[in-house]
Amino acid sequence: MTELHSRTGVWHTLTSPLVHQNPVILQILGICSALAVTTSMATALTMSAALTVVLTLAAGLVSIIRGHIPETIRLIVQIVIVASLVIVIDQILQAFFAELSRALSVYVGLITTNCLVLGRTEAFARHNPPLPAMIDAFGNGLGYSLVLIVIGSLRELLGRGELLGFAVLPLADAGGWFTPLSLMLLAPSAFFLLGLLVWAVRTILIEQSEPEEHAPPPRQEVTR
Amino acid sequence: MTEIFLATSLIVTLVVGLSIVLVKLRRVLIPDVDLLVNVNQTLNLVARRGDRLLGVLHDAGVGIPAACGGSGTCGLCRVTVTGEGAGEPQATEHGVLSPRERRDHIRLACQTRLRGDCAVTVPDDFIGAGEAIPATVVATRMLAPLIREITVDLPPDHGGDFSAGDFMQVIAPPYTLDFATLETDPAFSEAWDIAGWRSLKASSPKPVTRAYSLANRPEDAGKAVFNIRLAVPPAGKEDSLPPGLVSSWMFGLKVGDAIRLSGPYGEFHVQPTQREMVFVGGGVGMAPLRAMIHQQLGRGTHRSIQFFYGARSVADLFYSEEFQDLAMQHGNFSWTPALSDPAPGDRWLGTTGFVHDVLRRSMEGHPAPEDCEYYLCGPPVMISAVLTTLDKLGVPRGQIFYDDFGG
Amino acid sequence: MSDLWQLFLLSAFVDNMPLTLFLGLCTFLALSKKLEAAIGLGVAMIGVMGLTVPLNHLIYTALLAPGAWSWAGLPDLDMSYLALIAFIGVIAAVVQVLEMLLDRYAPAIHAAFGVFLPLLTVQCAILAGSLFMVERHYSLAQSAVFGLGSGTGFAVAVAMLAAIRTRLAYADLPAGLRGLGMAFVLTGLMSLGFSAFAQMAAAQ
Repeated sequence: MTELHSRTGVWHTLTSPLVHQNPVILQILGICSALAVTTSMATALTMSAALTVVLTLAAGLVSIIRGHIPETIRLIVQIVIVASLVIVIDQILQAFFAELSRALSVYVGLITTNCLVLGRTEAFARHNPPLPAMIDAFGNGLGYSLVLIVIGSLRELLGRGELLGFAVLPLADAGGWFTPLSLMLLAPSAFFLLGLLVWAVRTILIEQSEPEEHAPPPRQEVTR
Repeated sequence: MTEIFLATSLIVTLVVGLSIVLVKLRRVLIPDVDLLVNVNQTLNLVARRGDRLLGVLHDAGVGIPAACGGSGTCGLCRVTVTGEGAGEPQATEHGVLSPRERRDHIRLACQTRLRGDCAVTVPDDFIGAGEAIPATVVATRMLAPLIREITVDLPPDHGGDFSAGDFMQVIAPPYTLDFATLETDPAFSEAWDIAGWRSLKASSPKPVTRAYSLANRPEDAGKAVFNIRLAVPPAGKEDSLPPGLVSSWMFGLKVGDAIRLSGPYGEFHVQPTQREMVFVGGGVGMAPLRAMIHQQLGRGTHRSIQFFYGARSVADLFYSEEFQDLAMQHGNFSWTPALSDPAPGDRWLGTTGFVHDVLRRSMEGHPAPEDCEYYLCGPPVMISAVLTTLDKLGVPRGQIFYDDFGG
Repeated sequence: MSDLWQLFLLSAFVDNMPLTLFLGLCTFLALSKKLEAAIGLGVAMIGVMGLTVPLNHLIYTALLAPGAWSWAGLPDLDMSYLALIAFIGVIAAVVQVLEMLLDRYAPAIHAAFGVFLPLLTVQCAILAGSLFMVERHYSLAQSAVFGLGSGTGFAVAVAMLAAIRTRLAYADLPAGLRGLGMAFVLTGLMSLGFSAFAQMAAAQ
């Protein structure tokens, strides 16, 4: 392996989860929290940061002790590691960003059961040395963040005419032309936006679209 | 300090307490009783609750094939199970078994966990065939850096009745193997040194079974010829992933060594029609296709046969001269090796590209690709790419036959 | 209408777990392709939520809540931050016990719903039920009702989505929208319908 190869390898591990292998869009991983916190950019950003940190650290820790976890209890060990990290993050948020922490409600705690975290530790970190594992986790965290930020900014922009609390579109109430779509702040809009986002991505990257259900699906490559 | 102590002990007590309750409950709720498994109304086996049916049958010498090693993907271990012990088909089986098969109580033995007494029906030959055939290795030859041809002499009462496309199960005994002691052909030594495969070690504490397709030609009657690809871990993962359990053992075999086999079995055969045949292979997917092509040509068939074979570079291409000769002798046979990544030193003048692209380019010039029959064997990625290509060419699924090594 | 009945309706329809609170979506979308699977998941959900929320309530008030240790002379001790780990442990244990009980006494139900039980250990909706219980200071009776209600809401929603998706199986959708994309849009439409319940609750 030459130097060049290993560097492109790292770059690939980091960037492929952004669009091509996006964990949210392609694998339906971790959307539970992805949608609830996207009513505004601020909460979406906080959540993204919290998840990326937890994911990266958890992947690193699991990868370090990967040779020592007995097969039978590996899920429990992974969950405990993730839960402890989440508790730390939650306490930090409560201490320094009390208001955001209240807005995020129980969703920070739910990072523990976020399929994305367990999915990555289970699928990648368990078989790889710490550095690649953390890079992979960080890339997946970024992919998740990207989706959150896109949806969060759309919802905040169309729902309130603001971005991160700053007025962007002049509101009709204040003499401007923009009437806020209050639907954007309600739950259904998040589903619609994510559905449309999935559609858009899969139209551009046509190979990601799912096979028709009444045709026999092609056998997929087995990952071991 | 008190708080840290209290918090730690609290969590520990809670977790330990929950585990103890679980273990106690399990003992009360799931009694350790013997179950009866009746096979073909002749054989009675004793099993424990929760055992996998495949393991129970294998332990009793019923040689149900399981190419995927019991992960529920190859679908070779279909058996009919009736009785309360069978339970319901698992989610994994729904993908493999058709609704009709499920109605007929067909299950995958590897996915059936026993809950009570049950009756199993398996094809009769499995009961006898399960007894391993002792055989001897008579020749080994390296075909490519990671591919070895192993010829086994079968005892006289076996090896007569096999149809091209069949596979046999090889049982590797417990062993340890240091790759540094492997003899490699001088032609491929350089590849081995560069890849650092000599530093690998393989071992297995218990016997393991895997299925390998037969690459026999008509003149190999009474023998079994295998193309074994040594499954080495991908570069960079040498520490975390072991090399293939059975392929490593087979790679270490020398002339005169004993080997135990069962079979042959198989569903992947040439169809008795008059259609043109197109064979597409990759890697050791060569084996069953070679057997089929030799058998067909040897019988003097008039059907047109095309063979597309994909490899990375000239080093990975094997049996090439043999197929060239065949193409010279038989006007109805054509041989198209395609290299996806020819090495600079190869001086390759033949076709380049992935085998499914080469196939598409060639078949687009064919007047009726949908009237041909297709036989595919190779790694799962290749199979799925070729299936997509054939789909686009409008070939009905019923005319495509494939074996993706149970992947 | 009694308060508890109202809480049940509220948790089942107004604060519907997947549709309004976005919880448990992974399993919600993954297992809503077939109606039987969806109903199995729903029943398992009701059982597990109805058990774990009150159980976690007991553990939380007895051991973890601020002031729970005042009888031992430690009134200032606050271990509520341990709730997360404790809850997950309890949920995992309950799921396993439930699986064993069903296996022993109701093998038919186990065959139908058993495969879904292990999935529920790491399901956000179930953990969220317990976390909401803490955040909203429910009593034991309220926790039990809240757990059952949320489970019922999930079951109703997933069964409905599965029924709709089954009907759409032969629809000629644009390639990119097939599967996941359409499931999101459907969920959005259902969510829109469920938000009518919120209006009814607000009008009362």
